[in-house]
Amino acid sequence: MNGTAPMETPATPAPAVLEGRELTKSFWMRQARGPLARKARVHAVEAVTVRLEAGKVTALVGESGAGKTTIARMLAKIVKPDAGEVLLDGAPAPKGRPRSYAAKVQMVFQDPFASLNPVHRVRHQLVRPLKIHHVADGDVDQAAEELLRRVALEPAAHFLNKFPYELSGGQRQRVAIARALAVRPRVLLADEPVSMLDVSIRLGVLNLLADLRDREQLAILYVTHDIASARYLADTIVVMYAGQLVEAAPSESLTDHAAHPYTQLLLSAAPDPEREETPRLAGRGAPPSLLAPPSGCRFHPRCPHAMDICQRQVPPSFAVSPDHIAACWLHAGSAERGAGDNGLFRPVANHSINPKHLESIKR
Amino acid sequence: MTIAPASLTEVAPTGGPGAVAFHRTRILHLPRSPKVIAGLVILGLFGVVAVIGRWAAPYSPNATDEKNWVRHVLVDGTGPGTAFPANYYPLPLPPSAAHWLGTTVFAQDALSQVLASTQATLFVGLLAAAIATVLSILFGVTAGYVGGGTDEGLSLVANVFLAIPGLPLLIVLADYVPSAGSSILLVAAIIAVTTWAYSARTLRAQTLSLRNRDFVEAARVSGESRLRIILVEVLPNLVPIVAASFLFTTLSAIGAYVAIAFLGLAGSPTSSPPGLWNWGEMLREGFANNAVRGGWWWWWAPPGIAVAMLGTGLALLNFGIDEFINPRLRAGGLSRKAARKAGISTSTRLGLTPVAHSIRNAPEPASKVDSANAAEPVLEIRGLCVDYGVGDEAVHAVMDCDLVLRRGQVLGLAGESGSGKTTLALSAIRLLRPPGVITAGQVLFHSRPISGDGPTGTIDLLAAGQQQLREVRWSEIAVVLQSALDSLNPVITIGAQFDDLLRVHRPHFSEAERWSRAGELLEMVGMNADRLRSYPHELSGGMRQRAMIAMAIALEPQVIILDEPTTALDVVTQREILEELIGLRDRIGFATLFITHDLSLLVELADEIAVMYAGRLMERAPAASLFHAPRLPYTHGLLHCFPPLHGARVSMEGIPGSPPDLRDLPSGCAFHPRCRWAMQQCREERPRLLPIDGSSREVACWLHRGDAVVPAELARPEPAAKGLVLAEAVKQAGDL
Amino acid sequence: MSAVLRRLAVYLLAAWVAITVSFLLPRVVPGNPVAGAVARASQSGNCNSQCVLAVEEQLGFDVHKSLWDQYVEYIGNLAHGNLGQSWSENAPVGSLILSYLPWTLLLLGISTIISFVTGTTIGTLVAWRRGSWIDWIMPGATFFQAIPYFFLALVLVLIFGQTGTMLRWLPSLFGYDIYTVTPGFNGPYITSVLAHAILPVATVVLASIAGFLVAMRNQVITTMDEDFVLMAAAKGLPTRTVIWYAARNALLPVVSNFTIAISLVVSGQILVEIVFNYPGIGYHLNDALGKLDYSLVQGIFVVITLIVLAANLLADVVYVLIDPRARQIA
Repeated sequence: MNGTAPMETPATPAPAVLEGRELTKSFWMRQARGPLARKARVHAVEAVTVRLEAGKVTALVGESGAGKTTIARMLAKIVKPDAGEVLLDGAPAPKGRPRSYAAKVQMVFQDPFASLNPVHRVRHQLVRPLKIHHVADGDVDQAAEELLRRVALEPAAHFLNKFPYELSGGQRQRVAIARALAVRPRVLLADEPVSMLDVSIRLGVLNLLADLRDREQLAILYVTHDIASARYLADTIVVMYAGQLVEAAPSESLTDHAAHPYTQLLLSAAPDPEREETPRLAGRGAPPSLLAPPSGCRFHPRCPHAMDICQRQVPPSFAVSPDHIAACWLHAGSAERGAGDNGLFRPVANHSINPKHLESIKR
Repeated sequence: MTIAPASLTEVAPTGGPGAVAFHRTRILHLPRSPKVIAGLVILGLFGVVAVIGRWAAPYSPNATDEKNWVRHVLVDGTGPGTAFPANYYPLPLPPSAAHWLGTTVFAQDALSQVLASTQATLFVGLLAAAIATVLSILFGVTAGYVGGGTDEGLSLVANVFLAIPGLPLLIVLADYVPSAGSSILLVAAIIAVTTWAYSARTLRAQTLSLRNRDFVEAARVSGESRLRIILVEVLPNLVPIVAASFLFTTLSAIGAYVAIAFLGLAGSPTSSPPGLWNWGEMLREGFANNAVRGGWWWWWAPPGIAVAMLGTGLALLNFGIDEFINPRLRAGGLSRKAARKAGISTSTRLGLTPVAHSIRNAPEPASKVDSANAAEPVLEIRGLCVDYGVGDEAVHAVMDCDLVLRRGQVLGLAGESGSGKTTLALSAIRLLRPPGVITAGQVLFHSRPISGDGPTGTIDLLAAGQQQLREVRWSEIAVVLQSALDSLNPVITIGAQFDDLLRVHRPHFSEAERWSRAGELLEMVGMNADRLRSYPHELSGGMRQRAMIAMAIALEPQVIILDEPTTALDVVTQREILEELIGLRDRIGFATLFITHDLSLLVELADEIAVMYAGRLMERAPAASLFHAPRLPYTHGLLHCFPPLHGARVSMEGIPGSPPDLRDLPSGCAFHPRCRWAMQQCREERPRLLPIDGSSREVACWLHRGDAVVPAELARPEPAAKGLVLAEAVKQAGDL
Repeated sequence: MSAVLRRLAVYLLAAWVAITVSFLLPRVVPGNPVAGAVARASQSGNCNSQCVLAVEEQLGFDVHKSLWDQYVEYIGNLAHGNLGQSWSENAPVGSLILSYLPWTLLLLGISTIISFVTGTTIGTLVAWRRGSWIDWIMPGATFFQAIPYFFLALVLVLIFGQTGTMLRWLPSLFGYDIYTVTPGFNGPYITSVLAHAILPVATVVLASIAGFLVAMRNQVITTMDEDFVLMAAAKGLPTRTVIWYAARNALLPVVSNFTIAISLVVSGQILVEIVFNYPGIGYHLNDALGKLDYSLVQGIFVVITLIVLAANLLADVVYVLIDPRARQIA
């Protein structure tokens, strides 16, 4: 296991419409400004596998810099992975970004203020994909109005003639979703679709996505930093940390019985007025720099249960329950432990283990 | 090649609601300022002269009249009474009715020459600018959009051209290219070659930032072809920049043309083959024929002034475009006339929001919540009204708000974007920027310094002068804004920023004392004192916000205003910082006004919560009461916008509709169009914030007045007194 | 480190392009440049037979070598500091330029420093007191920005110059009083040099100051909208510190755009030298053009380019020094 971990795909009956397998990506980023800037390599995503199924919402949860958006962009084929492949209906997706791919996989962006071209009317934004893909060669205006109705923007004809700056944030995001739906895709990649919207209108957009999933059997990827909204909308949640996948499970199973220490940290940090007992996080540190990520499990410097092996080897995904996996050595089966029990599984000295935490893990 | 794309006309590629640049209108809408109008008028005049000047001129520019159009002066020592026959030399005539701009030494009419010259000068300028602009669009957009190796190559070419000084290159080119002077097209082409690089670099930078904007990615995802993306999606957004660089290039091209004509390299009407009349040529003739020494300013000054006027016209128009591209350059948003009428100085005074009313003592708030254990108030806001702009164009952002912050407590102010929560807080301490204007109210600060020698007693911040405010600021009232990266000066170290602060407020500290105090403060917020030597960009987002908080507590203020301090941070960091803050509050005892859109966060954090909607306070209650038993439909709806982390997953509805536009508020209660319990009265009459009988809370809702039937959702029983969750946890951890 | 090298590479490349252009132009331009040039020059009576020979030689017409060999030779000579021979002055171009250069650098150095410092200072104040009467500086600045340098020079000569007709306060011809003082390290000479520099410096300053002023004003206004300036006010810092916070940051883009500014100033100064008969390289460039002394023209062009490139390099270094974010080049 040299850095990349084989994924044990949990037993899932439904075939994936879109699958990103072992996706890896690093970027060159400018480190400074001015005339003498130089570039450095950022390891954004490391061997992450994501499966999207028809009629299901899969949420990708993580903090900023975890690599969520990069994965969505690799799946949309805007960004080319360094390694790994994208499978559409089980077959490798075509090279480049052909229109046949665009017709099946569409994307909704985070910032509705930036994702609609400010110089064009709503009509243009909707009609272009219709024309490119010959979806409605006859009456494109009619088809565009129909799209607006599908995202509950009424009266549709009225909205067609508006410029983006005349719309509110929520209305813009609905237009962006309508545009994505224009080509009748099978997969919708939604990158933080509600994080820039006002609190009171977020649920409306989330409910719209849920509705599209149920009525049109769309496979939806919901990228978010808000684990509560992921729990609300998604069927499956995948948690990422510093470019690595840490845990994946059906949403309730994941939020109610988090298996990975990072997921637990994330849950305890989320605002939750109804929780019984407020945990205290003090001094749990910050996510690592992706220029030189920690060896082994990237979470180990912040993990209260870190063991020797965590610093040395990237943990593979272990099945916690049939459809719940966690990439954490704490969940290594007895077989792995037996093979590797040479002191590596002992906790690192300077961390104290909260027995209560361990208990919840073993549950 | 990664050359800094920074340029004067560059737009910060900020996304989000702050990106106003594109909100105003679609492609290019010039602000109707006197500058722009003057610019257009000047350019219009020159345009007319350029078109008809040659024919409107009283004479042909070449026409000479040796007899009448010059003064004949007898050369000394010739003529009658000397040995030599009379010899005369010519002197040009000063301006007169016959020759408005006088004549030249060659007995030609100067006005006719100026008029006739306009066409060629303008034509060369515009043609050169057109060629250069096309070149720069091709280069800039290709480099910016294609990127990679193409970009490196093209940028290199542009940078090389930019580094070679323009005029010398132009001189060399014009001198060697045979008969360049006689071909106006060739002159224009040569000028274009020496002026395109600057625009190309600007356009490249702009295209680069557009390329990564989501709407371009969206077009790519939808399968749009590359050419169409460039032409239809990217180029229209570049129009303002292209227009600006076109004007800039026209200006430099005219300057270049005049310069090489002055050097005699652009052809003259007298050379062979003959060139065209132009302003540079007139200047050259004048200079070469001693018009300066002779004092015949009418010959050479008009063409020079014409160049300057034309250039001024172009530059004024460019101001307009700059103001469109970068709205910050607009005159503070305050219309001068309206402001003067309202008696407000439009002169920018940062950190001194104007107050446009004669200070009156606002009535004691009708509701005096007076439970026995309520702490004494430290900051009292009474009847505060804040507008953006003045007169008819004013937008009422905050209306009639009363708020009391009590010593040592956390007061949460919740609301959506545009609800006026930040405006309320910043104007209370006079930090709101123009065009914000405080139109009514009173802000009383009851000062009782925790440490230091700050002022004691009650101060009305809205009546205070700059000096009085300066004494209170930071030492008694500190502020933390959303983005710590923006709040810290990027070019000096964290330590130097502490130093600036302590030097002013603790003048008796020695440098070493200031430094060690700063180190202590950093350690109080869980940072290493070494970080004093760091620049803001070297710290992570969480670290920066910690440093900001350390700075806020540096002088042990009585009040800290926190405006969305953790919104830009990840949840884990957010929680750690809030824990830190509560711990510090317990140690130092400052009161906190905590502004956020995240009501669920406030419920864990605040003693009391006030909810704002459309510029008004709508509900105010102790945190637990507000959470468990909201009385306002809006609060109720807002609380049901946060999906829970526990229990069964059920469908939630949120609040229908969207927050109102402050320019066009609904009648009656601003929330009524989104309210499921709205009654006829709600549409007609605005409810006032009044206490609900028998409780320590207030609400502005007709459902709780008179004999209206209160829906069950809004009539839940008050919860049993329960401590603050987060504060409790922090305290417990401290006890351990 | 690679970034520094890259930046240097751009300048080296620019220098090479300038050198090559000045070599190639007379040789590859279609038609017979000699005939054209001679025709033009003899029209003005500037070219005799000696001149025709010299022109032909300089343009490489009687040299029976391939273009490439000429080029190699040309570059080789340049590398040894040999810029050729000027026929009109009958002296090596290199030493001629060396004698012109101090005048140009004196003028350029003094006027750029004055213009940059006062321009940015006034720009900052205009931005800070925006909305008051001081706004009226802007249209004036715009007007000055648009005035051609040499026209301004003519106006100043007319009004203040001893060769003008109005006040006759200041000398406006040559670099010093060539009739009464002897060059050297003596009081009268130095006084004369300084007096003669006043009008040219004033011209360049007046014509270039508006550029810095407007750029700085716009940047300061933009910077004042940043939170850290508001925070400086919120911290109760004295007004001058708050202004300094804004100005210090606004300076960065102004410095990084120095390239454009210096190029304009140098171009303008060439013409100013001509108006004042100021003995710098600009004046001699015009002189050499009139006399068809192509070696001198080429040499001066190359040197001007090198001066501008050096100024750019200096601006880059300054930028790195004043922006800590650019300093991360370990």
